Amino acid sequence: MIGIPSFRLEPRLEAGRPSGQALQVLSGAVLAFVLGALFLIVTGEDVLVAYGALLRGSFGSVNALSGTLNKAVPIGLCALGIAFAYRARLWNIGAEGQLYMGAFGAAGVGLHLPADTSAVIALPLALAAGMLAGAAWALVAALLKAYRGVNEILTTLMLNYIAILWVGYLVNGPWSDPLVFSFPYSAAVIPGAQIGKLFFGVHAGLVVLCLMAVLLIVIDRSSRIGYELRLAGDAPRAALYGGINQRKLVLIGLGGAGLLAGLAGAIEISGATLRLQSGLSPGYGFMAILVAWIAQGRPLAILLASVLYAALLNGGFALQVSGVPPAIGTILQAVLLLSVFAATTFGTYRLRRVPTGSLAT
Amino acid sequence: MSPDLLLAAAIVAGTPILFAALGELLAERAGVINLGLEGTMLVGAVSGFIVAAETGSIWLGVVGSALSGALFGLAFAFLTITLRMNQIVTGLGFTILGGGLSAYFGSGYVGRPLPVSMARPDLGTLADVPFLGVALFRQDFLVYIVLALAIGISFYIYRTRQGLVLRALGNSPDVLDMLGMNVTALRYLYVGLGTALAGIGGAYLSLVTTPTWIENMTAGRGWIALALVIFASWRPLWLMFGACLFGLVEALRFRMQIGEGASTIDPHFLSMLPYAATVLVLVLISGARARMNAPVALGTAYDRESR
Repeated sequence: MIGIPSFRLEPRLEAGRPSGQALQVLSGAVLAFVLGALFLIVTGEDVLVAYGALLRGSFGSVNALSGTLNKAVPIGLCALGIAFAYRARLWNIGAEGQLYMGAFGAAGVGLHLPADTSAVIALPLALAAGMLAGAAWALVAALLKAYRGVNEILTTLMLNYIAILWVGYLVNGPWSDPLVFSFPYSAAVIPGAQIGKLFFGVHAGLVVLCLMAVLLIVIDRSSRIGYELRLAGDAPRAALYGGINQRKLVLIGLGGAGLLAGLAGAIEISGATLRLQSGLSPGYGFMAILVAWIAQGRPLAILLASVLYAALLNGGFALQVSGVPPAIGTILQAVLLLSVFAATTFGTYRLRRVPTGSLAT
Repeated sequence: MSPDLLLAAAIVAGTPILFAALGELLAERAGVINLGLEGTMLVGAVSGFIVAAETGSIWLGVVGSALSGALFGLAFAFLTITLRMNQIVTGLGFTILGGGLSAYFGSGYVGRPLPVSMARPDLGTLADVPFLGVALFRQDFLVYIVLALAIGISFYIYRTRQGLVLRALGNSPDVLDMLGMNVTALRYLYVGLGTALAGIGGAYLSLVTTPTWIENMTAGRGWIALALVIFASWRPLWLMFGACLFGLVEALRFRMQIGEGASTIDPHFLSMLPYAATVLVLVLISGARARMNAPVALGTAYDRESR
């Protein structure tokens, strides 16, 4: 090893206890904020002003808190989908595009139903259309992976750009609102397709997010498909030998991920923006990848991590007023993932001092 | 547009992608897949622009972009090679980190014009050769540098002893280790060199193509470069061809969007072309043959004791 030749990393033989793992995650998170503080100091910014603004903008008021919870919904839903696909070691980097397609589907229903359609009909239709559109978009990459062996990391990523441009075309062209012609917006969706508020500014998407997390736990623990996905991921040879249909798993894994990301987009339309617009998502689908990994794919941990990432995003907006470049929010998001991931990886190894002159150096 | 002007525009548009793809090829040949390429390009683009704007020297800008790209890449190398973190997740993290860092440092430079521009060598009468003169002999220095690099790296990989070592590094690092070579140091070297090239690729956008700094100005070119490496089956000369192809798509799109005879197709659809073309290319080369040349140890950290 470079730099410290008398030490080496070796795998721990015993499995880590859950308390030990929680400690690793926590120490990784602390490390991230220390690194962030050092970075701010080195670049000549006031740490207290920056972190204070982040905190105030994310949890400091009822408005800030409800904004944070609302933003956790799309991040969390996309992250659940990414974790679902990764059960079978499938990479969904396309949640952002699937979210846009979901928004397109939901807006398509919400804009074109008669204005007095009852919420009992309009809302489920809008959400279902969003889920189908998101799943269909993910299936493009899934079919290419299943039948042609095309790398899904790159295809799902490329499909993001295409979906975002597609929505951009709609809101600038056929679906643009004639009343606000200088903005790339559609008209508002009909009231029946709006999801409504729970309390303060928090919309009911939060309930959907929690339900989906529970659903993923149920699928993991007590469904055949959950078992098959994990088997294909953890022991691909055993899965092959056991006659599990790999193609079906690719379609279900990525399709399910797209379904959840599409749902996230539909909820953005019916709960947050209420209209289709370009710049609909500030990168929810990409943050979700970080969230899914920090949470190690565990549904409940995903809920917590998505609130944390939503806080970094929401707090980032407050930074603009404080004079610190808001990009520090993005930097912290990445550093948080890398340090937690480093801490948990490091936790599966131990640092052993190698006696000098030993053959093992 | 006349075909020679179109070819000239294609070469310019393909240059940043070729820089990044050559860099990724070096890292992947060494066994390290760097999905942080897009972020590395952004870091290179912003630092190249800042250095050039502050010093008034475009070449210092290029050097600055290479150094910061390499520094960024060495951080990636530390996490993936020394700490043996998963290369895919770490790479994605670095893409977001690079986006954040470049936006942070570039926030004071958005929209500023660049006081200097990249020089073009005077190739005398060659520039007047019909057709090829415009396309090939009136370009800026970086275009010639990247073409020379592609040919040089191809020669290096297939015709030199060190190139043989590089190929072994990605295929059977354990053999190199047994022969007493330092797998870790060599991988650091190639990741560092590769990210330096990706940094220059980013700087080409902010110093030559645009030339100004815009947040997220790479717009997926790092990912297209990653796809090109697969398309080229890890062969540098094929990268040259692939980058030209993508440059052509980009030039055509630009051509159809503006100017006389602009197409009536909505610009959003034209902007989809490079991404759709990437998917198409990945589909066309899919199958067993595509991965024939893939480094065997690609994406796996080397651990002597699990040999």
